[in-house]
Amino acid sequence: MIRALWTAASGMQAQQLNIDVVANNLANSSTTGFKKSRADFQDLMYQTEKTTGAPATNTTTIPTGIQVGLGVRPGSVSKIFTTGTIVHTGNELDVAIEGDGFIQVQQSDGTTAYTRAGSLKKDGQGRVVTSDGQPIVPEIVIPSNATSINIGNDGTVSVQQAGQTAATTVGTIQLASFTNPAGLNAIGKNLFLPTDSSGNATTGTAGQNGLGTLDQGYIEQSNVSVMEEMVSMIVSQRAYEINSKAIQASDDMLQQAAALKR
Amino acid sequence: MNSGMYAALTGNLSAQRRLDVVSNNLANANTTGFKADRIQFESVLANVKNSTDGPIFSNDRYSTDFSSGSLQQTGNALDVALEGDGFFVVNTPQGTAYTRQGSFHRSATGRLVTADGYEVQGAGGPITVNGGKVQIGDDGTVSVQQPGQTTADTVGTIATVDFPKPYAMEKLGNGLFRPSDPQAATVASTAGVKQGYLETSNVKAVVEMSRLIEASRYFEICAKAVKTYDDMNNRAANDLGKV
Repeated sequence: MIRALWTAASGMQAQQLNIDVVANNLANSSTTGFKKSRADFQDLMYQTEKTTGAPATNTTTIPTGIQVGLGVRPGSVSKIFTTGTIVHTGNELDVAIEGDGFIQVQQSDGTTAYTRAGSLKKDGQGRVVTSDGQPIVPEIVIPSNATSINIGNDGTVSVQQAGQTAATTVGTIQLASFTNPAGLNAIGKNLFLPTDSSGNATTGTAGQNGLGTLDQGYIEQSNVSVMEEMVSMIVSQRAYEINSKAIQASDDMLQQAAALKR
Repeated sequence: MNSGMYAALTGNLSAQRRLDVVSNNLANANTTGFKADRIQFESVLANVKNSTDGPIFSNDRYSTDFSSGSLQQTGNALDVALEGDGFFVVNTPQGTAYTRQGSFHRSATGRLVTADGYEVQGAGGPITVNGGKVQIGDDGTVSVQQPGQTTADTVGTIATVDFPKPYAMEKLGNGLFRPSDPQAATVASTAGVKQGYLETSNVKAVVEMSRLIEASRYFEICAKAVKTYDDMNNRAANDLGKV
């Protein structure tokens, strides 16, 4: 009975983590380029009271043993990289990646981070930067006399300068991809860092080698489906509830056992 | 008189065990690839019926329900679910184990591993996924499209096996199973491999809740029986002497 108490408690704890993950997904349901997370659980070890196949008599064996599970534990929380809805914004520095790939971002410590939040900006020096002011890699500088910016499907950035008829190419937005994006380490601010599990980044031109194409004037919304998260929340809440009922039942039984002694 | 008391007591113990099993099922209601355990009710009654005097020890029958859970779409390239009977084969330090938990990952060396880092066995050894996009076919064929190439290279096939039925599987925790007889012959699995999906737990909350109530009530009844026997003993010891 004490065993059941702890088993059910582990179930409640697991559902609490599940709700934490769902809550974060819902909190970011309007975050550009956000990728939802999902918690995976695993059953805990089993207490074997009677081994299957052990001899019962000289000639017979026990067909099925007795194994009692001891609950559940979180196995992993992984990111889910389905594409979010792509919406039109009309901003010339908004780019959405249609398909696989990440935009490379230079962090202040010099390392490269990866993002799908393509709401790019121009900083004081004309560099193309993220909303946080981190320049993209390779660096692209928009000349101060540029009247319009054009980003092609393959990431080529060209500008129309005042007094000139032809467009000038100023750089190319390169994309990076990973063998296992689910293994990326999310560090907040829509940024991801590679890990052993994700593999190293492979960079390339948008639209080639399985990389997605770039859409200027669009941004990718979060891939959180509010409906789906609500359902997960209900499922999780009920699972929490039924685990609490198992605790209640254990407690009732303990009470009855205690009441046997007058 | 005392034999009945022990019978009632074993009933209590059995209810307690049943609660343990139900609790574990409920705790794993959201565990990927989890298979619910069952404990049979009638065996205890049958035992009581066949008993003569003396203590009766319950002989509960355990089994695991291997019915499939529903498939949930995740969209992750390394999430795979089995459609139909069978198991993935996993190398653990303790030997080969089997699982239906297909939330695979990539190790530092590029190997396809479980959440615990155990290598997933392919038809010809472990599978290495390096490079670009990973595709897993219905038959378990894993192919990777290398950067700079238009076609995908096959890097291995995820092995799936099944066991002759009825087989008793021992649960190792962490979603792993092992046949109780290590020599149990494996047979070809008929399961289809579905990329981007995970199999949910096959625990049915309503069924488990009924079992929880059943176990609670059963415990209550048995506790009442113990108490009744105690009352009778009490009267025998204290009241009879007064006559």
